[in-house]
Amino acid sequence: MEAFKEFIKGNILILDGAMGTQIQQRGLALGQVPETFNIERAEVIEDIHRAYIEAGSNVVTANTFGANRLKLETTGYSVQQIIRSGVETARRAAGKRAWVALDVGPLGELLQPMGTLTFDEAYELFREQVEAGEAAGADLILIETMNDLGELRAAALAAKENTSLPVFCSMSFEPNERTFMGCSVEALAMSLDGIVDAVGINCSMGPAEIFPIAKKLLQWADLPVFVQPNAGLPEVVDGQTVYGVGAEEFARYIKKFVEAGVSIVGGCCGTTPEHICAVAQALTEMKPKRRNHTKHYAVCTPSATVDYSQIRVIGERINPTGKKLFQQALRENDMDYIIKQAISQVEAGAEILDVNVGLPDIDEVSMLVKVVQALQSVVDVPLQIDSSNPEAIERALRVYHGKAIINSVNGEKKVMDTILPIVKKYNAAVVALTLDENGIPPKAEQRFKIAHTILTQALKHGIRKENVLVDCLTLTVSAQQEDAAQTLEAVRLVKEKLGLKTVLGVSNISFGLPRRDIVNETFLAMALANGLDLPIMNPNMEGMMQVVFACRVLKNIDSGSVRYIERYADTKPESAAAKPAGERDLKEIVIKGLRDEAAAATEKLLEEKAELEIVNDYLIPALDTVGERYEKNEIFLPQLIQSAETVQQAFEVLKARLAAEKEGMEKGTIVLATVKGDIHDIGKNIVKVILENYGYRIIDLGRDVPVETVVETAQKEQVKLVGLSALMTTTVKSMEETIRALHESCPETVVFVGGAVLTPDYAAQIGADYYAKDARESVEIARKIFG
Amino acid sequence: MNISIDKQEVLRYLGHRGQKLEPEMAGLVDDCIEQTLRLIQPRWVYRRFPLLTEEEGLRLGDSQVMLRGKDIVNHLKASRECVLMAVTIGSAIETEIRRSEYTQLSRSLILDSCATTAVEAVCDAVEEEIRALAAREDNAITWRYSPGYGDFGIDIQKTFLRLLDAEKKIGLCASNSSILIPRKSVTAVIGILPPGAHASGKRGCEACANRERCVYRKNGGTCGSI
Repeated sequence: MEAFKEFIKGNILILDGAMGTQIQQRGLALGQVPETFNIERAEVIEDIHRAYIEAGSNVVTANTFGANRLKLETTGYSVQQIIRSGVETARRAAGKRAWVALDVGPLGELLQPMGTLTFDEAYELFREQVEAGEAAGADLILIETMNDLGELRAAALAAKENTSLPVFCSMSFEPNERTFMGCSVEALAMSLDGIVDAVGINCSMGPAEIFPIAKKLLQWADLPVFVQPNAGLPEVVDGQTVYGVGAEEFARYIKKFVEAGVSIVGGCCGTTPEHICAVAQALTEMKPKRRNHTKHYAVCTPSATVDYSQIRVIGERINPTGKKLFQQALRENDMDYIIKQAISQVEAGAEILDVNVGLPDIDEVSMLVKVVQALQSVVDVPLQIDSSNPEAIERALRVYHGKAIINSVNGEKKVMDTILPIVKKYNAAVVALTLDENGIPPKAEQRFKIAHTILTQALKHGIRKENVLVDCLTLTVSAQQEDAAQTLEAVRLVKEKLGLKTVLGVSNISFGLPRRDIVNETFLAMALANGLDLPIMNPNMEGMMQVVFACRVLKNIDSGSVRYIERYADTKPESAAAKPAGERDLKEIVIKGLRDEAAAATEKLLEEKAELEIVNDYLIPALDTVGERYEKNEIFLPQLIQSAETVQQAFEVLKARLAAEKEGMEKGTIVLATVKGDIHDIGKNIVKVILENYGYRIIDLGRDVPVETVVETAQKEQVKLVGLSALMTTTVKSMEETIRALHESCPETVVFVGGAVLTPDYAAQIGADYYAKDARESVEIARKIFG
Repeated sequence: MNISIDKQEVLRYLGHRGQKLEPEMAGLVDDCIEQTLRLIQPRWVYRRFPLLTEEEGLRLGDSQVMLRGKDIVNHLKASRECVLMAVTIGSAIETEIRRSEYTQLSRSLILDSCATTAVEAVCDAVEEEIRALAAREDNAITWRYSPGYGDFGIDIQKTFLRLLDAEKKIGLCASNSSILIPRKSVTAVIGILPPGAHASGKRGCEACANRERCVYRKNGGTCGSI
């Protein structure tokens, strides 16, 4: 391996060209799994490898692109058999003349949230491949043609953690410079930098189209960059796919790539040994170009990159500290509540979200993983993983798709020794708190010193300076009044003398004072003036956002005040824009589905009526009216839903008032789930909203829910009623299994079902106790069960 | 490809049957149509295959793939060739549908219908392209028949995708339960009809094995594929 690593440092590495199109020309039947040739027609594969080696390839890629358990399922061969034969065949052709790469392509099924595979399942599938590849004697692992960053990270981690081989990873980009799944080049670079040995671009387009994308990748990645373009854009001529770029032209392009800094080259679909031969000739005497490291202050999701070389808002509200409803949501596994908090922060202007789910009585490790996965399926902003539990941090980073921030490390040696290796391993950014074994030092210079210590250690671990963000710590000004100035001074020192970006949680400053907003906004403005880059704050406090937007103008960040004008051009100062008092009756508001008016009208009613009175005299009768009108076809589904959402708005107000004595409003608990294998859950979500409207507590298990999860929840919560949905004929089977398991383990529990392919007869046949044709009927069923 | 989304079609998917459409609701639907058009990324791939009649069903050319079931065989009985097509509008719209479930469920529902309408519109456009290609050889085509219609099982999805190399070419996969992912996607078989041949198999609810369970029929409508 050392020889290989040495070679790529000083030489251009030439990979091979297409395998798939070559095998097709030599008799692969349509629909046949190409990897079966490794066993059935090994001589064909060996010939192809030999031709590439003779053309000048330094590496041949074994015919193992689809050799995973899912894709081989129908072939009768095991992963180990196919990979062993594939790698051995390549080795026979290569001898000592070339290295052999294990080829790893996408699994063919997508990961959650778009698909149904879990990260762990994907990781295990890849692990099986890479272990087989190393055992068979592969010299390196080439993970290629990936579309989904989550899947690519699962493959890269599986390869790095279970073998000692070098790992190259590439994705396929479309003309819009995104993969099919929307992943950007920057995200590819940031999420794998430091994790693997080379990153690249392959397939989908020809060299001319890939060139600008490769240039961007060169700017963003510190790793060696490789390209394997197709032989031009595919065209269909007489039903056959043909590629128009000939060998000489291809080689001329490849030379341009090398001149730009690419150091590993090869071809993908439509390329032949002639292409590789021309490339080898064109590159004789060429050496890898020295590349300069470009500094990037950025974190990302697969599709969004947030550059923090300027002021960025980190939303602080995903945090249970001091928030009863949030704590309750965590204890009840209520992801919806947390997701809504995230969405409202992003809509208010948060650009990064801090995620903290630490509560003494919950399992933080599994909860953090769950919340990170739930959030990244819905909001497209980078996350800041906020925990003091190293295991929770690492597990969350594994499932996070992109580059995240870790909050936090501090100057304590033990903490640095545990956290910094994690930062390095996952190429994360990290918040460095200026405290150590002795607590928070009072003076700015002392905090600066701790920042310096942490930076020195981080650099020793190979972490880049750009990835270290310093938090000089805000203390409560009502308790330690002299401290605010020290914090601000420390921010300035760190910024000026260390050249690091700074983070600061600003809201704590005002604790214990009246009108906290006044102090918070002033402190935020002062901190920004002293060089704060990333305030951690509540973006839903518009006053705070006003300070941020104004500072961006005053610091000449918001060029031409464009963003400021966009946000505030048509607004009025708060006092002048008083909300009009609701004139309409709450019942009418619900019937008309005027969701924006519901909260105000409910507040107003609360002045004279009790919470339960509002539910029973206003909301329920209004809902019944809407339900009847729906039954009679006087309104259609979206209108019914609008009314239901309006009731939800009213409930939010009532719930906040009743947080302590919420039980009074609840009529019973119902578990809802879309069954295993099925991901169509909109029907279930409609049923959920309507049942909630009628005062039932819903435990929503989501979609693609395993049988055991439904049974365990029903047992644990001792629920009387479970609702299951399935949309496909194929998944009604798992509905049947779920019902059977429920009836066996919880004979008292009643099961109702719904979904497009079901009928009352069909429902009875699979053992359901009730069939609900729509959300309205589910209310009738619930009324029967709970009285 | 220029795709437009027919508002009436969207409303039909939403179960609208002539109820009064308040201006707010009409506006919301328009807004969703516009957003859908911004977010969709139509991609498609198709390929022509000879059809060989065998005992178990119809074999696709020299592949190892058989089309089984009396409905698909009946659909293609006048054809000696067929075109296999796969269409997707990508994952961005799906992400938006999911996001809006949390902020405004009614919007999510409408977006979902817009996306369904959009993928059908893309299918129509692809079908037209295939019709034009067939017409060059004086052939006509049958309507498109998808896995899941009649007794044509959806467990053939992964095989179809492999034949079309759809994962690489258009980013389309199928889950373990044969659900296409991204969800707003379609695969279908179109028969090529030589001059003089007539499409058999009525396109209508009568030919559909789901007719008893169909939600659209329950509401007095159709699924749109007839």
